[in-house]
Amino acid sequence: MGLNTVIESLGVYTPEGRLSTKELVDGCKVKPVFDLEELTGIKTRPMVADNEYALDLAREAATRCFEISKYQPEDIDLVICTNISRYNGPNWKASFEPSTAALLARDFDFSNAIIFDEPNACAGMFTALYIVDAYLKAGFVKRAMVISGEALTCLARTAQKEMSAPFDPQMACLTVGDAGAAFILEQTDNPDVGFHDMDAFTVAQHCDYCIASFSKEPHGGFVMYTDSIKIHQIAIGMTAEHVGRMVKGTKWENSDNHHYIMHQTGTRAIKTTRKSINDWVGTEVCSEKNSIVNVVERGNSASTAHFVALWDHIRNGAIKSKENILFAVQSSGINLGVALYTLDDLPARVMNWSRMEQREAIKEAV
Amino acid sequence: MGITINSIGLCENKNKSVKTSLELCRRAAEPCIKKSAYSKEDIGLVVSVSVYRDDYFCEPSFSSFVQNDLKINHDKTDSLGPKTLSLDVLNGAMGFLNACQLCSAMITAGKVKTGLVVSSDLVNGSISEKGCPPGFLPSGAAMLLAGEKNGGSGFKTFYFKTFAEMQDACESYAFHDKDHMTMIFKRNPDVEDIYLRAISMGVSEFLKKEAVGLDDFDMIIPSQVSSGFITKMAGILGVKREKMIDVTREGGNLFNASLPVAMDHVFKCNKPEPGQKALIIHVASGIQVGCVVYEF
Repeated sequence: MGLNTVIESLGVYTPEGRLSTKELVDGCKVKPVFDLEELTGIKTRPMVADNEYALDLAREAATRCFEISKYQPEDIDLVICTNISRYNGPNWKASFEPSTAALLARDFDFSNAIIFDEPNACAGMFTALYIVDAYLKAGFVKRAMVISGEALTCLARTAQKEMSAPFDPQMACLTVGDAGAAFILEQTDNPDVGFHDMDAFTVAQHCDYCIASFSKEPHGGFVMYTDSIKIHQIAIGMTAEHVGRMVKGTKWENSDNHHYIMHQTGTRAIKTTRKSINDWVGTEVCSEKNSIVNVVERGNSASTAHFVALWDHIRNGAIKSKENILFAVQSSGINLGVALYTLDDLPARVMNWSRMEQREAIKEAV
Repeated sequence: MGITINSIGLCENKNKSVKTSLELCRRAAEPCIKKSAYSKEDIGLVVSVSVYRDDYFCEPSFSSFVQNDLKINHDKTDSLGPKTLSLDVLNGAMGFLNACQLCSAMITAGKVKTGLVVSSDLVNGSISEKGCPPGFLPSGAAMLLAGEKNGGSGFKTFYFKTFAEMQDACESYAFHDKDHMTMIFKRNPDVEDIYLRAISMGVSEFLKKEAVGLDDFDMIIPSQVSSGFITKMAGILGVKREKMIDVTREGGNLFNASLPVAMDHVFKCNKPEPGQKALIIHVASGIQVGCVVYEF
């Protein structure tokens, strides 16, 4: 029961297409009252091709994850897919059955694994991690994989058509980006690495602050209505207390000691959360220097956001092996989560994979 | 520690008066919690397994609406004291068994004291339907699971097997058809035979792996697809028909409500003795087979 859960492998896939905030806003029938790029810091985000869907993003991320892992699909005992997006085909096709996990069992040999979907808004991958930690500690499984493919820019396209007010509940749809992420978890007997502590809970009385479903308009598509002010007020305020209580009086109070990866909704939201955490603790535990900001080029990629940020910052050299990370999670629901993590040599292995991939790309080009 | 079924609540919606999946959930979960040995404060996990629910919203989790509706630690203002995590487990008609295992893991690992699993699949009128009828009977069901420190009873073995090569036999999706969303249910005309083939292979593998025989079980709790399906299943497994728990209803497949409706019947009518064992055998899209042992 005492062993730490560790991220054995990580894989992220972002589609090649790009969609700038300027282009998005220019295409809106009714433009936001704010300068969206200034407010959110988001300049551009990855965007799926016309024939690329949520399942494709999940599959690509899982493939990369296996390329870095020492395991094969048949070694995985539990597979949890957490994508909010079920956008899997033309004409806004949204899959209900089989589950995403079952659909992926066609591409990967998960025939003997426990498989299911656990979508939980932007907290999906984190709550899956929390669940997997329980399966591992209970001895039910030896290793598990969490996968998500978020094809979300379709929300932005619907919002462009439907937004009817300068401060519209669909405005948050203009912040999203597309990405796939996957990771494998197992236990380690090294107490110095892995997850040292984690917690997650839902403040359900605010469950209607952000709702995503189908558009009822004749043009179709997917929609998301968000009360951005209320959800930020609650999520940021409670995150400050949740994070503060976990770090106060511990080694995590030293801001030089670790990186903060928060939910990537916008630069201003990250800054406000940072300030709120520091105000609660009474000292600067979360600084500009130790906060990972990944939203500028990625947008909000929902359930994958924390792991896309981890991947990008491993690859740009900002996060290295043996370093500490504090994950702070907020999502509609409202779900809140915190986890304290020490990396093993995963960054080194991701970098090796990146170098090999670059070499392959050069070979192909030549 | 054994993870046992502490209470069950059902809302059968016989006259179809309940129009929303949230209402179905409430009507099942409230008596479930009331009958249980626990208070709402003790419920650390709410899991909804409904694939088809009100307005088909995909965010937030349906379970967060259930948690709020039932007022289960829903109005926290900080992270101290009793709290609840809500999440959805979506996996066709396998969701309820997956959620039972999930609760067992969370309780065994000490993350929560009890878990509430709810199911209320319902095809919502806001989206038109095409293809086969959904084939399931909208029913609300709730089950509260808790740990028994000194007990050997409860959920024992969980076994799941996926036959991805049979996947095309059963599919459902929504798409934009001209000017509105339409839900499609596609079922191979031989889907029941395909289910039975998967069950035959899955159960054989489970029995071999666990080194047990069907004679070791006092009853078999199958997916409540139809009475005819259960008869065929008994034939394929080579067990007497009376060993199969059949609580099928006229209106269709009980889908995710199969386990709670059957278990409620077993507790009330079969009055199982301590030590008796049930083998739960479920089948779902994917195609997936789940075998779970429950000791009374």
